[in-house]
Amino acid sequence: MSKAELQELGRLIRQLKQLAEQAHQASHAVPAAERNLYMVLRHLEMLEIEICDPLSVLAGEGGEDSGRDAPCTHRESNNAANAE
Amino acid sequence: MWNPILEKLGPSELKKVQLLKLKRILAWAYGRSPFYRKKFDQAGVSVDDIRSLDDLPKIPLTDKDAWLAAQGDCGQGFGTTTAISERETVRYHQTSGTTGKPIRLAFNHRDWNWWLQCWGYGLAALELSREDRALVCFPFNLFVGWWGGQDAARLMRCCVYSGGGMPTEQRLQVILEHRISVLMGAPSYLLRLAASAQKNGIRTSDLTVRKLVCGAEPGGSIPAMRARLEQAWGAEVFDHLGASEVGPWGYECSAHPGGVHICESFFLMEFVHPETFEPTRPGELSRLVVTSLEKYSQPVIRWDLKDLVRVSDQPCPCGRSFRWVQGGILGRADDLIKIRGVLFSPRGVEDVVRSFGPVSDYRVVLSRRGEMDELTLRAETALCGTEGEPLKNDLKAALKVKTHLRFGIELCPPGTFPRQEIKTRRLIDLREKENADEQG
Ligand SMILES: [Zn+2]
Repeated sequence: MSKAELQELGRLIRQLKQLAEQAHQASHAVPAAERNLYMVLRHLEMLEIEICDPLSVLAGEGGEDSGRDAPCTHRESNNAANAE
Repeated sequence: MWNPILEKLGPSELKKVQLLKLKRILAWAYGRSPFYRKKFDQAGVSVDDIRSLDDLPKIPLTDKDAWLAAQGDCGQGFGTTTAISERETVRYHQTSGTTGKPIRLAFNHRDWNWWLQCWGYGLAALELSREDRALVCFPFNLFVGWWGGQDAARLMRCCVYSGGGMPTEQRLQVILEHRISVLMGAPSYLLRLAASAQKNGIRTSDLTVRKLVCGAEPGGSIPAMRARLEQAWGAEVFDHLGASEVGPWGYECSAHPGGVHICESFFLMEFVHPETFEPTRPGELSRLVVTSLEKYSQPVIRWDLKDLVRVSDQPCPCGRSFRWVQGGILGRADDLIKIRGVLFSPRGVEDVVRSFGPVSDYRVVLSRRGEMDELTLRAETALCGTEGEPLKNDLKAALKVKTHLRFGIELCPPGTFPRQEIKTRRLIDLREKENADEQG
């Protein structure tokens, strides 16, 4: 795989994550959508750590801006933290 | 390879990835885990003090005892050890607790997915494919053991058979009927399974098993045990290393360099002197200190595993840049004894003696002559007199290579040592007794 192809893969994963987040936010009235999108997001997090992180380092960004949020800062964890 | 982007990174780039992950997990742990917040505050260390991987030792070590104290008593759940709310926990596991209270393990969905990624590296390294049928020989209880291996094998699109809750004969039936190609299990059990096949008139050479994934106990990296497994099954052996508290951190590749790769994108390893905790050089016997870079439910930062390893600085022919530890886990720091200035692990003797067929059992006697510590191996064997001389010489030479120590060898007739059902103590230390006799 060429460097350009890898960077394109990373870009698509980030785009997918944004879309999945939007879909997840819109899904709360439908458990079948919300629960499955939640799992999709957890898988996308794995793609971020496996693909986007090293690509950002290879691109010379030092990984500081790999286009991802801090891990686990998804809805449940934030709500739980806020409630406590 | 599971992820050639990471597994082929050069050392400096890998360090950058590790530092990126380290900063994230430290900030997370400080913000969310009362256990680590207290630890950092007490040591006067802030997350911003860790600017490079070399700064890591500024953070104090964590070990099982401190963790258990923070976990609290029964009924207190995870105590201060988690960084997520209990509502977010979707998997509960625990350690066996054979040496005390069990450690309670919490996983959210994300961390379980990560756990499977760790396994993904290992299963890809043994070239598991969708053509494979894997039988997992595991009771599927609260021990995390093979749960991850099973789910990750599905991720690899291999067909997985959960071999929990079935007797050995039934497992053999599954292997036969379903043409199982991969077995996952504890090495001692896989040997027992082969013996049972033989007892039931099944020739393992007629079976389709071609790979064994060993884990959950030492053995997969012990040369004598590997040889017995390979011979018993006619299959390739792959060791898999991990600890319930930190994650599945090591896997063997099909180039079999004589050790196990560290999954360095997920685990930051420090190799330190077993007693002084000073950093060691490659090839030196080292205590393993682990930071799990992607474990967010219960962060693991500078965990003193007390396992002993020797990290290699040699490249592996498989092309992975992740480093590998020679011979897997070489022993426990708890069991180390200093003899004539050399650190000695009884596991090394076990490895050597088990590779000598004519030796049925043994004891290691540690005594003192004047100021000198002396080591004697008493080996139980049917060979005696001049017939036993070559065995004595070979044992002496093999022990010297493995332990860097000189052993006296005594051969004893079969039946000398009592057979015990429970764990047998094979090391007899007479030094304290001799000291007391001298003083008394
Ligand atoms: Zn390799």
